[in-house]
Amino acid sequence: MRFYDFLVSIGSNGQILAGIGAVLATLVAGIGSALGVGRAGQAGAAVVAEDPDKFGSVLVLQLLPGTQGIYGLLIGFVIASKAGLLGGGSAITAAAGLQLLFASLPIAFGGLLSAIAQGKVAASGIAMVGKRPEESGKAIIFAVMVETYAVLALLFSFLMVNGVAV
Amino acid sequence: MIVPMKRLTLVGLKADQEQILSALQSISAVQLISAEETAASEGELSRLEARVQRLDSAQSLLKPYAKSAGLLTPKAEVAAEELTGGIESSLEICSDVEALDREISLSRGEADKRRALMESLRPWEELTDGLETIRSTHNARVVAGMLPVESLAQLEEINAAVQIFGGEKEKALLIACHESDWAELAPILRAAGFQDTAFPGLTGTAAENIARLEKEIAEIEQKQKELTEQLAAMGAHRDALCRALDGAVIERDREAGKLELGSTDATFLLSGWARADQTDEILEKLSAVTDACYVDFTDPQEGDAVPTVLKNNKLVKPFEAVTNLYSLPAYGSVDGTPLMAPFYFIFFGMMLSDSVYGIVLALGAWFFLKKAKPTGMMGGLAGVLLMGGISTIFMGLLFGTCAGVSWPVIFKGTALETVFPLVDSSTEPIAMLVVCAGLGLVHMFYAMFIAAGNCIKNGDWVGAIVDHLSWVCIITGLLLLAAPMLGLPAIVGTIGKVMAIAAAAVVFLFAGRAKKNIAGRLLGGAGKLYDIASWLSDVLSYARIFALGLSTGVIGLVLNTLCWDMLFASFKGNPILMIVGFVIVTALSVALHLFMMAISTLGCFVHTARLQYVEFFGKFYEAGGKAFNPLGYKAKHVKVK
Repeated sequence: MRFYDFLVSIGSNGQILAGIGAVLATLVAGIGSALGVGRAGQAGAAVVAEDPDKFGSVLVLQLLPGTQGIYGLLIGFVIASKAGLLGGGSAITAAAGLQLLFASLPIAFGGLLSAIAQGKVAASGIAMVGKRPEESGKAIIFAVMVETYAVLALLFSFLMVNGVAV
Repeated sequence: MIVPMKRLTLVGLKADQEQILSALQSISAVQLISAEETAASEGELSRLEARVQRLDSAQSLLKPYAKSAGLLTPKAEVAAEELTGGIESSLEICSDVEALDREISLSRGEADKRRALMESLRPWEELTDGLETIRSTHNARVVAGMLPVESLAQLEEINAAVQIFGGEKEKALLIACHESDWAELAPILRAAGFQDTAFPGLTGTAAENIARLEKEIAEIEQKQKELTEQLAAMGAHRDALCRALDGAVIERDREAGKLELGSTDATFLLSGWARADQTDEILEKLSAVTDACYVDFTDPQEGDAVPTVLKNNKLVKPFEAVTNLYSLPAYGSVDGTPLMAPFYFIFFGMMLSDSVYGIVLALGAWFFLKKAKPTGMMGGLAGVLLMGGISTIFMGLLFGTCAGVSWPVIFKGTALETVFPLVDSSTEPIAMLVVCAGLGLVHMFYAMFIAAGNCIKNGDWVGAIVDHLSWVCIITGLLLLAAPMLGLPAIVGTIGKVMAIAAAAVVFLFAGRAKKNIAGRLLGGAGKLYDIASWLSDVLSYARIFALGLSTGVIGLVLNTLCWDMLFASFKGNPILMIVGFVIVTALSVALHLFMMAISTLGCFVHTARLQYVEFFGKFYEAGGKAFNPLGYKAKHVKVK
């Protein structure tokens, strides 16, 4: 089989396309969350080293960039079940598969970049908690501002997936 | 609501000062205002402050060795006299702890010094001569030192005897040459990176020395262990130290309070803020101490920095924690707490939207409140979660799921099967979006009415109509404009059109009224009309209610599918395996659901708060209130009776 034929066979298989979409949503958004939570965690360790009592409010801030990965998993799962990838489904058309693939992109990349950005804000917020623990609520709100765009991406991805007829 | 405040002015005899302050501190009702000149008690204050510091560092040293109180143990209730009475004896414990700590760090330093010396001797282990023999004689120059491995080749040609010993990156070199050759050799060595090593005061071979040091280190470590055990044995005293610390803080705060007072030789002047509803209590308390004092309460003046105290009924009280996370309202403005509490209640429930999670959350928060009796921020947050949990139970039924299982599956075959959920967000997303946007509009219109009410209270009728009410008309008009599409009579659409245009005209003509010239005014009005874009984005912001609700439901579904449809299904066929599998899968799914519930609860808490802060408070709230910080008992470790 030549490479061209290989591409055609993928492009004409709805389930493979939908599978790529499910993987992208879970993987790319997950990478974002991992980076974001990791970055915030490093900042958190520094603050907790100074004052272990701040663990609670630091942990909340560290968790915030983690939601994008969950949103990605959510969309990945919805796509996979819609395309019958979890077993027991019938084959879907190439067009529907492509639609599902595109539907995964908002949460994949919206999630990736917003989680990274949110991780930075959370890390700064954690530094703020180190200096002024009484203001941790404000640090949380700053981080939540970023998450708005992950929520919007999740919403649109879901609406798109929901709209695909299989 | 915001509690009205009074300014307290008290003139009393110096002789009564301590008792009066003590009485005021015990009811925690007065925030002191600094007098112009300060009394000279700073020496005493720094002594008390040092005491607080000592007790604090001693108790934190003992922290690892003390039995920690569980999360659910409420703080012990102790009388203030009991706290301050234990300070002296605790200071003695403090000295012991400090002495032990000093000894431990001293011996740690000793051990480190020996370890470093040992490391520097390691490369010389193979040298069989005593270290004291490495010294120059009249004719021969003998040097010892370290050289990087890569520079070894540079020394091949030199006119000296070289002995090389172990070491991986650096080699230990013993070099001997004739005194007359040294002048030539020294620069070569230096260029190659050779570094002299001296062994001052060491006798015997390196290996002997290392063995001796090892023995010494072991002895020091043994001593360190003993010291640490002594410190650990003192862990039981930490409780007493903590109480003494709280007592010391109380005494320090009272002394610091004295700095705020003005005074003459015989009298002192105290001024401070007190809640208007606590004036009687203050008078009563003062009269119990002395009757030789003058007390007066006056209303705050314009420009006074009056502290803010919130007062709300039991149901709304917990939500003050949410308001406090943002910022207290300025004194004299509106307290947003009772206004936003119902919305917080509804939005939180809709976001978490899983009845089982709601039950677990409500029970957990209730249990925590009952057992640990948290106060302050912690207590407020637990209260909010309790209310949020209750809301979630109902909202889960209306819009959500039941531990990830959809209601039609649970009510299968009953009359309720087609009733719940009222709107299923996973199959009717558009309907759910409309519900969210509708609630959002109600939320924001309410904020606009509050803002308009504020304007009217200040006599600014024009502001109320132009800046706030006209926007309600524009948005309502635009919504009515779309009504005929839903099958309502066309006349409704026409009314909507007229309403929107008229209100927009009002904004266009009057919103820029602060500007003098007509062009600037109209430009300002047109700019204001552009706010329609921010209304649109604000409404969209409420879509997060839908998104978070959906995320809880679908993640629950994912967990159930993984645990039951996939994992448990793989045990099918063998009855014994199925029983074992059932136990494992049940435990696993409960753990996973609890974990997801915790994450979702955090998300719902912060996103609901955001809707209040940005979309709601943004329209009317005057932040920047200063917290009421009365002279009182600020005990961290116990609750003062």
